[in-house]
Amino acid sequence: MADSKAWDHKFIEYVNSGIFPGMVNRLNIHGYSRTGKSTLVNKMLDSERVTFHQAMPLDDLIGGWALIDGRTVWVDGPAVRALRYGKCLQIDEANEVPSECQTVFYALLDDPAGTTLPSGERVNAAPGYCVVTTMNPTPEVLPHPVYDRFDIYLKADTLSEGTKKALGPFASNAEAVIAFNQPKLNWKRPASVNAFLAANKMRRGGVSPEKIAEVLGWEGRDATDFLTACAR
Amino acid sequence: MWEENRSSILATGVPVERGKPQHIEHDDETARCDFNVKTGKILRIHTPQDSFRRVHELMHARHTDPKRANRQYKGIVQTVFDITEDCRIHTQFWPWQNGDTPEPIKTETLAFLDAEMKKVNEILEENPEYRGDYPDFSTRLRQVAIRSGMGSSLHCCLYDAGFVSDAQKNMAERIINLVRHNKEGKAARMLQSMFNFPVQDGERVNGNNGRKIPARNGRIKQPEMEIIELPHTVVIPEAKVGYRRATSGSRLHRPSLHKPVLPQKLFIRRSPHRPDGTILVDASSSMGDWSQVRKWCELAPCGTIAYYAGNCRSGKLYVYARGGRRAAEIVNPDMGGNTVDGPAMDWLMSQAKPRLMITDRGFCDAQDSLAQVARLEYLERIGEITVKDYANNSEDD
Repeated sequence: MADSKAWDHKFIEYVNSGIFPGMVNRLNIHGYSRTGKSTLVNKMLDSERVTFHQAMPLDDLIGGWALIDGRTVWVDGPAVRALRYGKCLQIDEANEVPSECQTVFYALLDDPAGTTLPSGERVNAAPGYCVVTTMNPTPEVLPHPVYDRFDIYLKADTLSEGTKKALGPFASNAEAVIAFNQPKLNWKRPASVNAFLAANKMRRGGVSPEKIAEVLGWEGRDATDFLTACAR
Repeated sequence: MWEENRSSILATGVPVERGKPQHIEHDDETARCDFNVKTGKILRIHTPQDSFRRVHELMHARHTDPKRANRQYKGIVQTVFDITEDCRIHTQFWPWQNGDTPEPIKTETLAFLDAEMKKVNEILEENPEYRGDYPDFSTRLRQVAIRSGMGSSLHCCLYDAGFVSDAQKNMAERIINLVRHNKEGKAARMLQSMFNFPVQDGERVNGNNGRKIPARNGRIKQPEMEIIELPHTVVIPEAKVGYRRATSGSRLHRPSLHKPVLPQKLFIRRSPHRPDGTILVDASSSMGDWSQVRKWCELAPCGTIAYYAGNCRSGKLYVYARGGRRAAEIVNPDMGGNTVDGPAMDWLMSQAKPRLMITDRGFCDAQDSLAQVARLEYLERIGEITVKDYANNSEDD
């Protein structure tokens, strides 16, 4: 079994190897704040970015009607732009799913994703569409339908290379206090339908079982259990 | 300490039709599967933390069917069932193709096997008399099954296992080949008859389900053997109860009282005779001239002497002498085969000790002949039977 890599190295590797986006298209990064989660994603995938908050209206996510030159015109929001043009939809603070957006959020996380706009237009995901969510608490806080839609979970428990570069000589000092006053990250991914769906997508893409276990976040005993349970 | 793993990845490897088992994680060595005996479904998988036994228990959960086991292992004692079933699942159902076992699992499996053998060797160092006994044999047998199931050559595995003798090695090979061909019941019966398992009161015996266990007590079907008691009409002179004169005793030697000078040895005592014991002679043609059976009577004049032979389908055992008397004539069995070595050995084991078997160990003609060779060797090792190798020692006789 490969040694455990830092989360940012994994993310870069998955992007470069075509596992994400490509074989699987929904990824969650959770972990300590100021580790470089959002910046890395935005930089790597040139994402359409939106930040969730409880009072967020649906318009902020999918767009709305705007009065332009005396006419009402539909203006796409970040989610619809990502769907339409096959881009990455990056959602920060994903644990704060606004109640108004909850069901649309499910649709955005579906595979294949798509949504019907108030204008009546149906927008389906173009190739290249993917979703990355970032947040601080562990994924248990997500509503179950959201929680069970992610293919990959990455635990940001170290500083990314970019953050270390920004910290300069203070990187090791920052690393020492990274978990200070932060919620504990002792979450382990359980077996779920979506985990096995993702496993099958990767298997069809020619990924080895060992690599699949790693991508799904199963290491050590969980990885050998997965290899055993999946072998026939 | 144990804890239920509610989101077990391992338990997802159990097909739904086999049940949806709970996965119980143990900190100790506990490893087993709990089945519902009526439905055959699996209820719980108990695993320790090492990969090998997790794989092993999952294989049981997938492939051990209590209903099938009850049919196949009818009359088999629990320990033999456990070993044979382990051999079956490892030789047939190891989850990966030859050589494709993932590296971490392969490493942990080999480490487990090495640790097990190390433990066995430590026990044998302290108690060398256990070498070749059932626990020693069965541990090595299972090691062979595991290693060959993972893709090693069977012959290499047999060679590396370090069986105490070639007879045990051959027996292990036969058992592995049987379980590979779905004949695990036959393999288990062979293993059981090899070590002469007495079924203890209260011990679990597979397949009874309230029904009567077949009389053969789990042994494989053996050829019929007729036991013929020859008419014991001739008194064996050496079998007479003898007396000797002694300087003390409770009975006077009356003729000595009439002597003018009384001798010191004025009393009589019974001679110390061994009045019992049993000799069984293999009278197959490979034994050459077996007519010396009369001479062997002198070894145990008061004991039981018998000889046997078979004809590939059945056999006869003649009781030539018993209780100090012998038959007037030796009846030629007119059969040149072994065939009934197993039943003859059963008969011998039912007779009084000490037991001597005169044979060349060339058992053949029956499906359990190999098992009987190993059984004889085992009984010899534990002191139940003394074997006189007639082929090698015939000149001495």
